[in-house]
Amino acid sequence: MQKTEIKQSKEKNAKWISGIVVLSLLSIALLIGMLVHIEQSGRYRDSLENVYQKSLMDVVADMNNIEVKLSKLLVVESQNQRAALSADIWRQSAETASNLASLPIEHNSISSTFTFVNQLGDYVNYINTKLSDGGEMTIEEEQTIETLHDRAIALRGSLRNMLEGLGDGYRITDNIKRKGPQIGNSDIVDGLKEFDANNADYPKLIYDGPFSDNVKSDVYRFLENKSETTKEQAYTWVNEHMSDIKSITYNGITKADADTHSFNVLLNDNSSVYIQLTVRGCYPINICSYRQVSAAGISKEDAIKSAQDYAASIFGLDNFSGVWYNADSQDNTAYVNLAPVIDDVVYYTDLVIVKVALDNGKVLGLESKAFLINHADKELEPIVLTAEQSKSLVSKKIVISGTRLAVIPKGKSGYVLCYENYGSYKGYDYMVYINVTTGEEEDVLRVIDSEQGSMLM
Amino acid sequence: MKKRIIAFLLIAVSLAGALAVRSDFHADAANIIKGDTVQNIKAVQTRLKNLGYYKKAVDGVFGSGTRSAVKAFQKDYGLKADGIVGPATEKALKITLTSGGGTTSSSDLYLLARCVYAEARGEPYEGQVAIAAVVLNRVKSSQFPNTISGVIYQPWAFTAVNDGQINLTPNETAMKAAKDALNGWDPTYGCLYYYNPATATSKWIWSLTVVMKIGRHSFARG
Repeated sequence: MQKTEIKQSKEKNAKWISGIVVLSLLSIALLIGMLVHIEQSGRYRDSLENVYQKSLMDVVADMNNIEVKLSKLLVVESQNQRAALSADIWRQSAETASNLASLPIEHNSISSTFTFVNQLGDYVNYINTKLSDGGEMTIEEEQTIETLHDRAIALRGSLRNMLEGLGDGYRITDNIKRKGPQIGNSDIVDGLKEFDANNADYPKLIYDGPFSDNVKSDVYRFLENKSETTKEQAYTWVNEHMSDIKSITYNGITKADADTHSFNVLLNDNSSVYIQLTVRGCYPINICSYRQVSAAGISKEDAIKSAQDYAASIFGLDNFSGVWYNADSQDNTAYVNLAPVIDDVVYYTDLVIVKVALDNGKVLGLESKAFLINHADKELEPIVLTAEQSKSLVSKKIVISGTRLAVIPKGKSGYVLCYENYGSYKGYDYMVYINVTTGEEEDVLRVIDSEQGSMLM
Repeated sequence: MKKRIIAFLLIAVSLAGALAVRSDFHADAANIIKGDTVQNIKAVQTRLKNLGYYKKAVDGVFGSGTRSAVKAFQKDYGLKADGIVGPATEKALKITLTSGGGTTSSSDLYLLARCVYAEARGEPYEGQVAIAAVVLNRVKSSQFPNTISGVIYQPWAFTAVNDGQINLTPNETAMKAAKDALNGWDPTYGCLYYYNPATATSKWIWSLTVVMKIGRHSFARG
């Protein structure tokens, strides 16, 4: 009796021991794996820390340089000096913005710093251009440059204090947490918040540049004398202009710079179309839809005609002309850019973009914001130069194949009448725009990808 | 009793080790198939179906069924069985894939599409266009970084970039939505922010005036 008991208990022991051995080996293996992983993580963290440190140091160094250069800009008299300093400030503020963007700081804490840095370079460049063209700075503009310099001193000071506060051995990666946006890196953030807090009396910068505080809201000139429409009228528009409708859902009125009726229309083929119709005048400002188009069936000319006819029926104008055609062979759809042509002048400012399906020519989308904002009577410059004269002002390297009159956007909300000279050099296609009065080169465009898109003359 | 305790402790340590070693599960990188287009995927599926490796529908979507079929094929033909149709596999399959001009013509377009897919797949089409438009509006704004990659990769700007979903391959809808936005479509009228009211926890974002709602997202000017 006892022998079997001992035998059983020995077997039991053996099972236990082998179990424990297996588990021990497993644990050791896993522990080793864990250690390897930790070591690798450490290496990743070190490289990342270096990148962050570099970004932070560059922000501080660049702001130092910018402040010094700005202070010189306030006192230089020669155009050469001014141009050189402005170019440097512009370049370095762009670098500063880029470095700021790489730091793991929650956006809200640095958005005003971003704005300041972006506007600074932009504004300096604007003043430099103005003065180089023979203009003069107004009293406000002189004041603004002084204020910008004061702000630069303040920012530089905050950054210096911040760096001193961090001390040696500060690791930015210590503050990266797993969960979503966090204040993290509060030491850096506090340094910048101090700068931020003094922004209350910072003037609005209104000037001709991409980052100006200009005209935040758009005026829709085409809608100016049009009457407001009701929901029922909007429904009627949808029923009249669309076919194969299964059902219509009204989403209400979106209040934006132009109030719009918003719809989702379900078609018989179960594709969904999103439409925004302006309350004033009931014009589509945005039609958004897509469907899979398996193969192209219509020609480029047919696609353009389809777009033109559609735009004509929507806006009641028959002078739309295709100016750019961008077909996607993968999607079998084409973006047709249309511009009104009045008295042989192409109005690029009043653009309507129509997305056409290349199997049946039906319209899949429309974007007409530029048209609705800009299409109204314009005061154009008197034409002093002839087309031939404008050609002679274009670089001799370009072999010009065509010239016509065009109104192009200039600045935030302006426009200018030019001769559009279309030609090529070195295999690239260029459009050079010559001002009809002054003969200045207002803009130069180059076709980036002629496989995807082509100019329509 | 003692043995039970030892066994329990060993199990506990093993589990702890296992949890520590588990690498953070980030989505796989893109480039499962050259070109990543519906046409290309359909071509691969059709060929594999003819050869008997693929049994499901030829739908142009590269899912797990397609991937296993590719792997099985690669194994039989002495190729590296990684489920990715690279040039060697393409040759062995005896098909020609088109490197679609669409995806490769612009890295910005592809990145934008990845962001749309990561953040808004499953949203209505106009919602995806709206997300892409928000990215482009930020590029134009003085308050944000000045490039598309700068905006998308700004730390903590987009949760889907944080957790690696940005590396998933975008589908056709996301690509089209990105294209529309790059061609000027902006259903949001210049909004710079959006959030999902069901999941957003930041107090600050709730304080913004909402301009409109599309699908699950509310859009705000900021």
